[in-house]
Amino acid sequence: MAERLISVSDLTVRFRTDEGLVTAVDDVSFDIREGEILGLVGESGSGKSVTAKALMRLNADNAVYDPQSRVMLSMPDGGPLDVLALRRARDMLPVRGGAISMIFQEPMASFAPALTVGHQMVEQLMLHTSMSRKAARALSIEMLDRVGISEPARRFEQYTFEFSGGMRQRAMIAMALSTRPRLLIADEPTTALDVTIQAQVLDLMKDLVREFGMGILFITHDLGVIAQTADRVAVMYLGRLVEMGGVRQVLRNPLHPYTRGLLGALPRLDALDAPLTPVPGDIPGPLERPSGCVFHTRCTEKIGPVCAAEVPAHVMAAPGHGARCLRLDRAREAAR
Amino acid sequence: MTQTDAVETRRKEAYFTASQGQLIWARFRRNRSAMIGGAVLILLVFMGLFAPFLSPYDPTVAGRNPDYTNGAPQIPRFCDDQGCSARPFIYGVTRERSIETNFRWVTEIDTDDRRYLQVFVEGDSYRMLGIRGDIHLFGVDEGKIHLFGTDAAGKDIFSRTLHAINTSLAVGTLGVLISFVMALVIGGIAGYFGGVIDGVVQMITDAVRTVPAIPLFMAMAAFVPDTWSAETRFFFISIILGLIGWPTLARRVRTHLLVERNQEYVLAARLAGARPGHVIRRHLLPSFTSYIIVDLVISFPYMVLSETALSFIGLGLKDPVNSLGVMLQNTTSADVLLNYQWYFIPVLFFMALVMAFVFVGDGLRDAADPYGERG
Amino acid sequence: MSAPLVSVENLSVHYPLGRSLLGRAPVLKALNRVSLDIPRGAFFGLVGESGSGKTTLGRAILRATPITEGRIVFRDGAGEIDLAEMGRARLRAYRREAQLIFQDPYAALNPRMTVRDIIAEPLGIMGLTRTRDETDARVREIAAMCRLNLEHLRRFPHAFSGGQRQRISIARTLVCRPHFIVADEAVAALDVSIQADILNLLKSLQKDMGLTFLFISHDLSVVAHVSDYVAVMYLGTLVEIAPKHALFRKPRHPYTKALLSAIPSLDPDDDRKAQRLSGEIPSPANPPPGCLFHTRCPHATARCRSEIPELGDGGDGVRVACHHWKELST
Repeated sequence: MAERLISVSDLTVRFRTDEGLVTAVDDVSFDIREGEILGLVGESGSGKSVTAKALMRLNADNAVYDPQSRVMLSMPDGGPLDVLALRRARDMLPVRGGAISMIFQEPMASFAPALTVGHQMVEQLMLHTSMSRKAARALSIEMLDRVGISEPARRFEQYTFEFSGGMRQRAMIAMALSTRPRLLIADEPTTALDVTIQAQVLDLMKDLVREFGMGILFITHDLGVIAQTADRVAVMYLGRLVEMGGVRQVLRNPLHPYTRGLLGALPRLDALDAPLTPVPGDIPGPLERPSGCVFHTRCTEKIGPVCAAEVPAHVMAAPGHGARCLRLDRAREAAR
Repeated sequence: MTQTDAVETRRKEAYFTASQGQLIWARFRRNRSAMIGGAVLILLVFMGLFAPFLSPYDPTVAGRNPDYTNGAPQIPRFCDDQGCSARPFIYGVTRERSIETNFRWVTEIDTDDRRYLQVFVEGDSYRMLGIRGDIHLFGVDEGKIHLFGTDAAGKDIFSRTLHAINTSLAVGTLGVLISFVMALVIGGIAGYFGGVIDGVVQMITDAVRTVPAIPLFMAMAAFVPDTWSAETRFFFISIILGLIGWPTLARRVRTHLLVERNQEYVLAARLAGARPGHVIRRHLLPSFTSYIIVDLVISFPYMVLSETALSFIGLGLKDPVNSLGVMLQNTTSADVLLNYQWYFIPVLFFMALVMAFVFVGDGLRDAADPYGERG
Repeated sequence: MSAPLVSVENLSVHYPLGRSLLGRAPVLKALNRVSLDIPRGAFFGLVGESGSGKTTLGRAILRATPITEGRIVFRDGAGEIDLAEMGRARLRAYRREAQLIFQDPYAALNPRMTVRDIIAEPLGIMGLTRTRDETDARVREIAAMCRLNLEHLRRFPHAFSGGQRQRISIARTLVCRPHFIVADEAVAALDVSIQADILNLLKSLQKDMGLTFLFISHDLSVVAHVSDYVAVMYLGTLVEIAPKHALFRKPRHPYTKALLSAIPSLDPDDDRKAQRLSGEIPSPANPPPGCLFHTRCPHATARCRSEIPELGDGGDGVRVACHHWKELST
């Protein structure tokens, strides 16, 4: 069994705002193992980005982490590190960029426009490893080549604005991977790219995972991308993890009504004339968080007022595949 | 639906149907420093507007107290070792100069001579907001009271301070208004039409902006005849400040317009066939009203500061017109620094005025960003 | 079959880039000699990636962007007019017939106007109603058709979610009863569960109001579902136009094939890596010679590098611009 890289348990993140405490992530738990790609899927307000940032303590200052939340990162030298227990920003340094790397939707956000790409990559390497500048340069150029950027030595000296969208994203991947992180967090990395470029970048990421043996937390709203890239998938809605399982399990046999709704609302190329069934209603705003099961206001399969009163526990319906739905709970009760 | 549900629903509905203006006010109210600034500002404006009534004496030479020149502030008290009184009082003073004290004034407070404060006292006549009157808010039954002391001629600094606030605010208002009208027209034309017109207007704006203010004012000061009355001088200074101040505001107006012009809802109106008049009236003007109000409030302190600085160095207003800058003119001697520190009390008012404007302006600007509503 | 509602003939939109003292200034050819017909009552999909010119084509048909060359023939009830040559008065009349749905529901609504006023605005501009009651009636009618809660008409845009705002935007577009709608990435900014809702709404409105849609999107699967016909654009030119099923079942142009295979399938075992394109999309300011696609095409020949392919008949109602499509299909 591959080593567990990161273990998130009972993660709850709230934000202090003018309107009060707003819950962004509610009781989320998952693991990521070496060589595994976990897809985190959700729409707006699902809390997927906040979850990802919590792993690196990148959330804004008004974020409040519940005292029971744990993010345990296994460090190569020694025992697990509780990311949320770290008090000083400096303590995060070996984690950020070192053990965990993050790539974003907007590559321009990663690169400073006034420095060359190469300069930043070398800086990153020298910060996290004990390499000499020369060795760092050589490695950076090699990584640029590895991600498919032509003329890497020349590109090394260029600025980000001289790169096209796809190239920037690849350069970001190169920079993120050059420190050989054990875990890569990719937050909507291909959403801003054209579909043909997206296909290239996704192929690249899969190859790199195989080669480097790291784990990836892949965040996206695009279920198709998840289907092609991830090994396991976790579906989030309004801050709660409503279903998690192997990608084939979840996509072929969705347990949660929200997952079913999402799949029914997606246009599929293999069923051109099938009607699209939208999920009824609207996503509630952050101040209108439903009680009980967070999806009950839009659920077509409610079993009664209990859905508004009781928060469903995560119930496993098959090995490695479970969801938070009272139907499953009741079914399991009935089966006993 | 329970009571709290009903209240909650009403509150939400109010939020949904709140216009932009109401939303801005609601956000402004939550900003404590802005509200405090607003309160201070209103207080100061009130004091300035009603200065003739609130101050016990005429601020000019006509209301001076020749027996108490360079006098220290007189703070009313309720009690002393002779007992307490319901009415506050001050002591009478006698002064003498003598050879022993090197001809300096020596003030002797006569604790037996109580002078009680009175309200609604008849005193020097004045014109306030067009109304003639001679009732002042407070005074003393005998002699004069000087809460902030007096200056070298015996003029009451408290009265002068209140009138000075009025003058500074008036100059500021006039200057801002002139700037604003010019900026609106010039910046508006540049922003709305864009292209070549914008380029030309930009050049003119930059040219005006680069005119150095101090040498300009020195030149003006040299040209202004001494025969001009104080009021004329006052208007002149205001107009000049306005004429110098418009480039900054014009640039802001132009920027707002350029941004608003490219908004998608403006394009939607154009695609429906809207004429420029309709677009300006229905979309552009309302959209930047809130920004412009913010800009106006923020420009105010600069106007006040400019006038104060100019008057201080003698290029602006002069006696007998009273402004904070004029009052500060008298503070430049070592004598004052060492002996008559109360001359600096107006500085506190000045700081309060500018800070109040700044807080209110910042608060308005933070409250007025409608695109903070996203998602 | 009746004449198409809109016929685009050899349309070019070029933007000059800077100046040059000697010789010709460089131009950005956003659209280059594009010709297509949009049948009356059809849902016509237009797809492409960045730089394809699809947005420019939509805007050009709406006369929201200047046209460099070519004709756009619009056949309304009265007769046919060339949109490229229209005068100002005729243009205003055209605005009643052809409208645009915007992409960003947050930017398309003036935050300072109530929803009722937003929807009513075109009626006022075009002078379609005389009394306030008449306006109100029409606003309520179209709002109901767009499934908006009539109680909410007095609210401001900030009260609504993205999907609801898009519906308000659609209501505003339709209040003047146009015949032709250009939907430019109308669902791109919406969440998946909401997208389906808006797409269904558009289809039902098309049926109820007899509308013709030009649906522009970068998302092929969305286009696949709603369109009757699909046109694929690359770098300012059309590479393939086909009825929906023909395009998706049997794509002829190599770019179309690559585009289709690039879409990540919801079936994890569907391994369609076969058609990966190499390289980046060239800049529209510096297009390659010959067939614009040859720099990335795995089947490019010498002929492709020098000769520009024309849109020719590909059978089954398909038109394709490729020298070798026939050999590649077998």
